[in-house]
Amino acid sequence: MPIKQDSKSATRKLEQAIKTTRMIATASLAIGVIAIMLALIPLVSSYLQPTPANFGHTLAGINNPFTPAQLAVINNASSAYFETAGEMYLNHSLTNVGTAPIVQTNALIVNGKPSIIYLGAISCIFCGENRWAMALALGQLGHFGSIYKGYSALQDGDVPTIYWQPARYNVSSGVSFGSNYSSAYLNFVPIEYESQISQGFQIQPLTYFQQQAAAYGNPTYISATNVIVTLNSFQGTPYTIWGRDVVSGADAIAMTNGTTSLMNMSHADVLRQLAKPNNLFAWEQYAGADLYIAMACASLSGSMPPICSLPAIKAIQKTGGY
Amino acid sequence: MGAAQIFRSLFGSKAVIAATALIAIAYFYLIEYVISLNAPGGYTFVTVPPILLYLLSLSAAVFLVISAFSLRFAILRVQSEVELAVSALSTIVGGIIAGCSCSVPILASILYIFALNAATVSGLLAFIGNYQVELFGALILFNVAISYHHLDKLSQTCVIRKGRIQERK
Repeated sequence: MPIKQDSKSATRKLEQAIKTTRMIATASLAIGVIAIMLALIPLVSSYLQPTPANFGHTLAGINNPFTPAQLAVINNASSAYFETAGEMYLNHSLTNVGTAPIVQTNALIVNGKPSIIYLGAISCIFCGENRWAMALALGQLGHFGSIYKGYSALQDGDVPTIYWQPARYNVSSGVSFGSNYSSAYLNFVPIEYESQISQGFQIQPLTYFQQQAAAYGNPTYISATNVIVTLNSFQGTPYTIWGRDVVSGADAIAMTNGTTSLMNMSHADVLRQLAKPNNLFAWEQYAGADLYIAMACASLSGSMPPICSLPAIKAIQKTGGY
Repeated sequence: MGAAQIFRSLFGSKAVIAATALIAIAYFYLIEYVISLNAPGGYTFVTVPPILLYLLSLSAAVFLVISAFSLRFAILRVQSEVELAVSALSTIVGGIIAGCSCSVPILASILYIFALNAATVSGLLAFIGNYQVELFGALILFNVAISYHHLDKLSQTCVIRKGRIQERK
């Protein structure tokens, strides 16, 4: 009898060992399959995504400077357009303007002038859309010596936009600081994240921008990145500070003129609409610019650019509490 | 009896397939809704391949159906109740990830509530932006893995009699 019992217990132990081995083998197999599938996902998705057939054509003229006539549309826009767009915003004819949350802080003062800080990414579609409104606003507060043709990432719709300076759109990761902009009233402090434009949206943590600013060695940009980190209001890009007002996002989402999406427009199309605004897209861009102008003007003291005295700008300052 | 047999038996019914399809469609709209909540100005913009949205909706629906079916069995009830919520949660997380992570006001606001600072929040946003497709794939695999695990448990607890899954006595 004891021999039989020993044999039974040995069989049981053997069965348990086989069971455990099977479980380990199954678990290993499952982990292996999951690991292989995870590794394959980026590869498979690259085939599934609608990659433009002609890379060069889609990025036509990228980094080319605007011609004097194109630059004039930005630098010399009529104040009447800003007034009309401001009135449209105030009477609620434009719904996609003033959508970003705004908080107040102390303006970064450099050389006795308040600063406009911009943090964005060349791959970011909303930054691409928002730069048009920003440029219109800045054109009224100072003067661009040059701006450049740009695009947001190919995989986010490839929006035609402005680059503040030629972008390194093939680097894996980098930051560009500065622009060819001058103003008697304020400083423009643009910080742009650069990555491969053939990919989708990419960005780095704010600490990366602090490190890059330190490496760049310009105290204004070091201060600007520190301000963004300490404010604790970063919600993504674009992120702008117009003197005292922090705008967490694009202040106007002007992605269509009612018939054509911004993604399907060329730079010439956008500039034609901004030169003679008569549709939703153009008015929303001007109204977005109005909000930025109202914030910037509210941070100025002493002499002010003429645009600050427009009735619509004053009314926006009042209603917005800038 | 294995997980595959339970799966075949459960999804052999046209009613179950129809219910799964309806849940998958509902989940797809839930994902789209979450994307629109996070989109600036409500401008919905999806930056992952559409096939991943469909796969996530489908895998979450299959997971939900298996969990809901398991509610019938006392031994799996508590686990199934939790998993019903997990199934919906995976699509909500998918919706947060699927939009353009360049601007995520809702997610960022939630993260700030948990006393995270801008450096940490920006790090998380950067991670989502840079690994968006991989994260989406991981969610789908999570649903598949949990569904398989659940089917495996069912196969240990149940038997198929006359084409119907019944609790083992």
